[in-house]
Amino acid sequence: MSPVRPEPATPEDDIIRPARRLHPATELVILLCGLLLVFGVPSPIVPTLIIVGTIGTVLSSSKMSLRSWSLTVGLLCLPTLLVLVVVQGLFYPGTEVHVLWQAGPAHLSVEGLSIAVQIWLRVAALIGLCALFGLGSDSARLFDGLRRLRLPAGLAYVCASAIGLIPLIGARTRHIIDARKARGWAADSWTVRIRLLPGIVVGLVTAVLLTVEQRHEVLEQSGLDTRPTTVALQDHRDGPGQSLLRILTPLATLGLIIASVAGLLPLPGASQLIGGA
Amino acid sequence: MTARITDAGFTFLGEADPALTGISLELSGGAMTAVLGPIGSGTSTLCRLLAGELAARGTLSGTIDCAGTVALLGDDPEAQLSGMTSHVSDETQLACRLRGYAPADARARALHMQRQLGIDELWDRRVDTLSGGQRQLVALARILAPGPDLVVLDQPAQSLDPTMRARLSTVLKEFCAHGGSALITGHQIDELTRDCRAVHHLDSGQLRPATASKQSIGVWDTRPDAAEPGRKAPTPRRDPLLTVRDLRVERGRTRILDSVDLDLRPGELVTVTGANGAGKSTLLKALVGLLERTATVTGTITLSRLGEVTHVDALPAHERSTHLGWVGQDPGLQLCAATVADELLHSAPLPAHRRRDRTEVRRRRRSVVDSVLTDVELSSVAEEHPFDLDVPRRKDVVIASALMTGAPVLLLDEPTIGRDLAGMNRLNAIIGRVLGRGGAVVATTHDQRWAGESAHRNLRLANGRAQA
Repeated sequence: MSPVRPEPATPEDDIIRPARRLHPATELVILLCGLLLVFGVPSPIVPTLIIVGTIGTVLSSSKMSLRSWSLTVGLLCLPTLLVLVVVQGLFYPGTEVHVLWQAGPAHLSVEGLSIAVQIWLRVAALIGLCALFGLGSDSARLFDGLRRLRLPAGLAYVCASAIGLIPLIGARTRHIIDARKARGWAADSWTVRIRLLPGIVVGLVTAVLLTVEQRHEVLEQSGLDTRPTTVALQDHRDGPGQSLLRILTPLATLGLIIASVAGLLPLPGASQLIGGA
Repeated sequence: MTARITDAGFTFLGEADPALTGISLELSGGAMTAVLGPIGSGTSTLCRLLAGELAARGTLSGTIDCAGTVALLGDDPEAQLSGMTSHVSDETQLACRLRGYAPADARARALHMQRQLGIDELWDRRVDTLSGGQRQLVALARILAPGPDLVVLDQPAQSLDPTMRARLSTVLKEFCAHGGSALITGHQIDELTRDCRAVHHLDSGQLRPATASKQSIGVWDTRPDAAEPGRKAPTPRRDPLLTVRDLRVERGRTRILDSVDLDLRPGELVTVTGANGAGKSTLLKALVGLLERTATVTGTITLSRLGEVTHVDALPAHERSTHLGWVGQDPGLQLCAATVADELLHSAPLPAHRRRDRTEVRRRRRSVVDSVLTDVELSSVAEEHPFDLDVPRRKDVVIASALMTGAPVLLLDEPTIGRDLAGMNRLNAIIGRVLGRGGAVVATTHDQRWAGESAHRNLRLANGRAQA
């Protein structure tokens, strides 16, 4: 029985079309292949190209805010850069090194710097790509992408819920900070925020766990697990072109990595670029 | 027949006493039925039992026969949406798509239900920009769109304005006219329960005859026509404590509030009413300085106290807290300590002091916490986790934390949501004490009866403007 009888779709309903964007499954394949390339080809050129491509995509995307992407990437990448420059750049343990600058036990070497740059570029490319996908997608979109790639519904749901935690934690943190401001804490200051952090984190974890359980109940009531999911939760553009892309991209990625390992890809390493060696 | 409950009882795991006993109820197709009772009477347990959510959480006795699909709307206003989607259109289609409806059919059903509920203009909105009432309506559209056989709605009207309640009632009547069945539970009598064919009362887990008086069953009647005449107190004739002039709020190109003026006198309760999404919460957030940076706020907010005038609008949010005590709509979003007492203890920063005086300052803080806990009738739950309390009690914890700052003006966003008669009495007592001390209160509400009986004045927000 179905008491709700929808009206026939009106012409204006036909206007509702999926956004001009790749299918989430295609995006996931590109994301994974990009990461494979970053870690499979030992040249800073690859992560640099991927970072540039990611920035270009963010700039041209109407769904993504450049500010939130930059803040996320900056917040995660800058501390990594600092640690790498100190640990690898200034205190590289090798003996046969080309020293560029020295002060006491600290010495800036081409070898240390090249390792720091290589690692940082890889981490920055990883974070940038993941942020591009994570900030531009919601749980339903990821769920659809994973289901299209034939992952079991349970596993796809767990992954999709996990990505939903990012905005949830962000929103909850903002609400708690607002509540603290409303009680007199100058929470715009980072020193005050750090003071409040231990108290906030405990409450945040409890609230997030509760919310995850409540959301699962809402989804169960909405029909999750009642039947195998055969219908996408959102409308996406797909077609033979994208299916081909999903097959060719991994093949091309594997080809590039094999060529690099076999020495057939003449890309310069970080030490060559920095020291000209 | 859609569902028949015969002599059913339920005991939660680890509990000695049953939450429900001897419940016999028939929910026939084509009828709306209401079960009302105070908080703790078992209304939410009954809903979740019918929806099959409690199978692994306790022991069931008796039988529950449900023919067809059951859809449930839970009682927690903060847990209505799935969290899977970013946009309203995706959220309202979600249940249809999870149940295997073709995309075009799912879209048509969701759009039809949004039109019926009068929220079709929200189709492209992001769910994180919705007001509390709009969230509730979107959740209703989601569960009704697939056309279940039985809808179980736990306090469905709590965040809705009277027009929306009437509209939801019409939608449910139409749903029942097509053979569906609806069970509505709650702690309040409202426009929805009035339209039910049968109204049952639940008391301490047992169904009682519907002949008992509202007072005896502990539920609150929100309908304006139930207001007791002559209860309204006269408006105090003193100089305003809080003066708001020409307050405007814009988000992008949308003007949310337009030239709002408000004078709030010591000892005065002013309620703010208006349709869902009219800007009531925005008004309170604008006063306390908590709107997002992208919102443009103009106008003046001044507070006059003991001959001293403070330009509140020139202060950052944290400095406004000594003048304005804000209590947001969703209490769970404002709490983070492990116990009620800890929440109050750490809610506001300690006053400036020398290190050697710290012990004394902390002792004084604990004494204030004890006093506020007593005022708000929370002493008995001081060591409980705030999330273990029901929603109105959680709201009382947030009100208590606002009282900790000693602000003379209290800004309460929807303080009546989910309250039974005892909860309403508690709220009135808290507000009475604030007003008695020379403070003033601004409260947003959809509860017309409470606004009519308790407030000295009411401001109605419509099209961004305030009408007295």
